[in-house]
Amino acid sequence: MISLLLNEHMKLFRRARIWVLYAIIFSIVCFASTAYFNSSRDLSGDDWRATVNKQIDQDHRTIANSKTTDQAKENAQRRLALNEYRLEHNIPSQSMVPSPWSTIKKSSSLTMIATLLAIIIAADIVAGEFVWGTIKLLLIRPHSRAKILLSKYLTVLTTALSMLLLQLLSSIVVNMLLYRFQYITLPDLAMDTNGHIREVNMLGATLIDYGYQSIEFLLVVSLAFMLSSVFRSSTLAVGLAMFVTLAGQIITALLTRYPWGKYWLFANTDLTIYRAGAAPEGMTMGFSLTVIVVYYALFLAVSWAAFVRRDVAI
Amino acid sequence: MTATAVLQLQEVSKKMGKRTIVDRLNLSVQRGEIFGLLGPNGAGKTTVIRMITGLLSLSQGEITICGHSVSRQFEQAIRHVGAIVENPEMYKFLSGYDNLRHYARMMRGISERRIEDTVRLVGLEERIFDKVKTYSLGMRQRLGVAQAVLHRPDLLILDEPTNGLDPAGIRELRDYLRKMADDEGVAVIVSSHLLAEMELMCDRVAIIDKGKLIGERTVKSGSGEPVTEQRFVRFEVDRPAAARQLFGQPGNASAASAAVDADSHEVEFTGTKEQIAEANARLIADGIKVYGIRPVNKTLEQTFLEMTGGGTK
Ligand SMILES: Nc1ncnc2c1ncn2[C@@H]1O[C@H](COP(=O)(O)OP(=O)(O)OP(=O)(O)O)[C@@H](O)[C@H]1O
Ligand SMILES: [Mg+2]
Repeated sequence: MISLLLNEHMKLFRRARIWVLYAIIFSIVCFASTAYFNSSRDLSGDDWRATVNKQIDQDHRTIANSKTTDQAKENAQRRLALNEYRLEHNIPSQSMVPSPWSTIKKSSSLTMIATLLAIIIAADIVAGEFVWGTIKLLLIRPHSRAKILLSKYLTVLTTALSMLLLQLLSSIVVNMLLYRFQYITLPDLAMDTNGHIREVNMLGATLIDYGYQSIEFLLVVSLAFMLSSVFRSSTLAVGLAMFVTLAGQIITALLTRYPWGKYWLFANTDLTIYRAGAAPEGMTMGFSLTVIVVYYALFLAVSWAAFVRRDVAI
Repeated sequence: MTATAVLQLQEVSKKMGKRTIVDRLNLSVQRGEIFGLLGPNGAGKTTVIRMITGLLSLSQGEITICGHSVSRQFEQAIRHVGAIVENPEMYKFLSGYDNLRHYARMMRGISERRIEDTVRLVGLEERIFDKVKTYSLGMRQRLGVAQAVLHRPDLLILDEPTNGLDPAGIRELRDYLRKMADDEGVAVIVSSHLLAEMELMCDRVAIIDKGKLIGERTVKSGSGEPVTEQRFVRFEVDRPAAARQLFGQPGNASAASAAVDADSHEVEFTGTKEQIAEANARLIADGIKVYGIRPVNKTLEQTFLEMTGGGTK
């Protein structure tokens, strides 16, 4: 198995393509980070206490005002508590100081681009062998087809994850440099429903965001892999996988009218809707996880059946 | 099954849709034998090779390699096989050497030494570290042979191996296959539609057309040939028409003997040693003068054209 993985990695990394994809990811991270940095350039970070004090005054007035709604009062209370904690513990808000972390955390939303690039790898790894004709010499070795397919899938997974990792790491490095290593250890504050305040490590928060993003990433990559195995044509697999990914959210919106729309994969891949408490009717975290697992199992089963069972007549 | 049969096909058929591409084929190839698969374009040679190597499933029948069923014990069976199926397609973006390393990794016990020896064997040592996309067709064919013999297979299958090789390359390949068969007991299967090639290269040739086995023929009849062996001779006589009548052949030159010059006084005859002697005695008894008996190596080409009904389709 190790030797099969070595082979797959050799075939992947000896080609220029993968390095171009890495370069694209790195450039986009650089570009997005610099753009964001430039737009928040006037933030000096010296006067954050003044800003906080101003907010505190404002919140006191809101609470004292008899005309404010209960909801608005509660929000003001919460902000007040957080701001007092900030002054007391000397923890400015991430948005008030030149901290690299807000940009780093936002970089997880670039995963969409990494997804499209990973599709190119995943959709080609099986189909490529058919297109080149090398599949014939690959399959006439003492290894079962299932094992060869597994080695290819594992290679796709590690490579796709390496793309995501590059996105994260380059975002950290680039932003640290842009912000000259200021506020590296500055945490974020979170308040639970009981009004208890907690300090949140920004790296941890970033990783959690990446975790949420990687669910759709993993599923799309597996979908592209399946299409590669089924159609044995790189172009068709790349095209279809990209179409489904790009149109995924539009289709989700179209399908919400139907009761079965919730079984559509892309209606379930964004689990942050449960964190924000914005879950649609009739959907729970457990439901979405089940849908995800069923789709994932289906993708793998179809990939397997299409590769192991079918004749190779090229 | 005899103990030395490396490859055995029993009643093997392949259907694709409604078409039967290979029809109830029976073959067996022995250790140390070079076996030719001969047939016109579309006869099903490559299909048979794809089935032997497990790329295609069988619609019917059974293929065993060194006693292991290809469909049921694929890994044990394929371990003994080295093959080129159709064109030797390699990874163009890798060097020849990396291509070999790729295949070497997939099999147990192939040292760097063995790879280098194989490279020398196929005469690619000068270009082996260049990318395959810079190779000529013949060089790719050589690399194809290298990957097929890397692990010292018991059964070597080469689909049209001479395609793209220069005359020296063909000669080298022929000598090398002969050596492998004789010294290491490797069973070799070569497919081709080049008749002359097959005659020079093979011990035995099976002719297939439209997926059916039409005939099998031993090419090089050595000195120790059995008395039942069919021979092909020409009698030179003074009255050929009378002689033909005596042999039960049509009075005029038949399609089979059309190659014989109409003016010459030769009559064709096929039979065992004994039958030839008897035929000679009968000619003399009938008062026909026999000027000579000439053994003719009936070429594969003739056999081939006779059997397949005169060319492709
Ligand atoms: N994938 C396929 N689907 C349907 N028919 C096929 C397929 N592949 C081959 N055939 C048919 O099977 C028959 C045998 O093809 P095959 O490639 O085995 O011939 P061949 O003897 O190798 O010919 P050649 O000398 O041209 O290489 C042909 O009639 C061909 O049209
Ligand atoms: Mg062929």
